[in-house]
Amino acid sequence: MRATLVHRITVNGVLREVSVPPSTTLLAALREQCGLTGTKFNCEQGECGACTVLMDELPVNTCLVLAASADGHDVVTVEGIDGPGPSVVQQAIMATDASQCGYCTPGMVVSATALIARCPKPTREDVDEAISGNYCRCTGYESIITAIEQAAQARSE
Amino acid sequence: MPDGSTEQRVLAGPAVGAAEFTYHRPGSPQEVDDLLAQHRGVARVLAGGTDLLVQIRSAARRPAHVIDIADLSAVRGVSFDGGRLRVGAATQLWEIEAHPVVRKRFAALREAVRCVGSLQIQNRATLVGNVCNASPAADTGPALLVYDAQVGVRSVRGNREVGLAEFWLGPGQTALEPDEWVEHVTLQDQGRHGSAYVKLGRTRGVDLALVGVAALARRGGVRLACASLAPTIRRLAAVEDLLSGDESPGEEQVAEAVGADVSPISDLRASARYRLAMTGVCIRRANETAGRRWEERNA
Ligand SMILES: Cc1cc2nc3c(=O)[nH]c(=O)nc-3n(C[C@H](O)[C@H](O)[C@H](O)COP(=O)(O)OP(=O)(O)OC[C@H]3O[C@@H](n4cnc5c(N)ncnc54)[C@H](O)[C@@H]3O)c2cc1C
Ligand code: FES
Ligand code: FES
Repeated sequence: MRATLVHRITVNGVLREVSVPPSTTLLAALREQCGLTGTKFNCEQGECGACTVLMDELPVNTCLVLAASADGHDVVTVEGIDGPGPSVVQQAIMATDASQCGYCTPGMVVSATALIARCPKPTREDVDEAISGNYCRCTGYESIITAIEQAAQARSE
Repeated sequence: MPDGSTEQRVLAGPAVGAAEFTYHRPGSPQEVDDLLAQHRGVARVLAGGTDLLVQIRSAARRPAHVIDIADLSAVRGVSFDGGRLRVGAATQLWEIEAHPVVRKRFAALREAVRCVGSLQIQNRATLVGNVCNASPAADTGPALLVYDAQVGVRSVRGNREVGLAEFWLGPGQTALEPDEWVEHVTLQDQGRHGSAYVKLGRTRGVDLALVGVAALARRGGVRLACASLAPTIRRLAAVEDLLSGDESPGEEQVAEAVGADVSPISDLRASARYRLAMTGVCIRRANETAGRRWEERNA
């Protein structure tokens, strides 16, 4: 018998109730209970960053957070970044062709958005560090780094 | 892939392991004591979960009770009082990195914290979790040792302080009794000094240390501690003696002393020989940076 717990988590500004067994990750709760499939499911061990969201404004790997631990916290997924249209970061990614298969892109968008919020004029090193927990197997990173630098510039103009 | 199978894979994967556990979120340290006493031996404390959830998923650990202390504000935060830095069990690595006293007086700790995984990991993981996991490769371990860290242990039976070197018994093994947990770790301010942590990994991104060395330079000599070179993280006593003497020793002498202090293994990350060779390099770099920082302080 799997017991079910009810958690109240603010997701993209809306208070949601999710009822899941205790071992459920925040990743699973977001995808299956909230229907937010932008957050990707991949390595499940904190290595790749495809499952990154903001929790209380900081990027975290949702495969390593229990839904139970998110109870009472504020979560922003890629769907909730900057309102309905594409954000500055998303626009820059499109402009620089920084997304190929696209699997890493939501995590990259979340990490890059957190960086620019914290550090409006990031150096190349800041950008490298900010996405060091986000693997991309397609682009070779250069276009992603360029996109983040352009987004930061567009933001501060 | 047809829709059905995608759905199945998604449903099968996301729970952390097949085994279920009872989840607790205690509201006070006393409640943690009580839960651990009540579920003696079958409960684990969950802080950031960056080790524990991976271990549960791989069935390396199967706790029947998980006690989540991440939101326990009584054990959260960094304070500096009477020359000791105190880091509560729920304090996440990013908070330590950002703390002004840590930046000013505990440089090696700050560098070590920044080496742990990625920003995503540092935003959840705790220092106390890094200590309690007792990995021989724990990046914060060497820095904690050169700052004379003490571990604040508690249970329903009372509180005790354990020196960090005595706290680690072997890989994954600590001096904690089944009903005990760690409330905080403290570090001793070293007055005028300089310190540094140097980590060698296969890549600069997310990877465990092949070799990690912390150095602390001050009047009276140098302190060194290393990760990934023995079953537990430890001070390098023979190298410390050698480097604290009046004459600066040659590379061969250092290599000999390193050999006396550590016993590296060969594994999929590196051979023992490579680790030994790189230890000398890391010691030199850490020692030079610590020495330079000490001089800058004195200037
Ligand atoms: C992708 C990835 C990369 C990583 N890279 C590194 C790295 O570069 N360097 C490194 O050192 N580590 C690394 N780690 C390991 C891990 O992130 C660290 O060890 C981290 O500091 C653990 O802290 P936590 O709060 O997440 O611990 P948890 O997972 O919550 O706990 C770890 C263990 O300690 C116990 N525990 C925790 N708190 C207490 C307490 N207060 N009292 C008693 N027991 C307690 C738990 O029961 C568990 O057994 C990595 C992990 C991942 C997933
Ligand atoms: S799926 Fe979470 S980090 Fe890879
Ligand atoms: S675009 Fe394919 S993994 Fe990054």
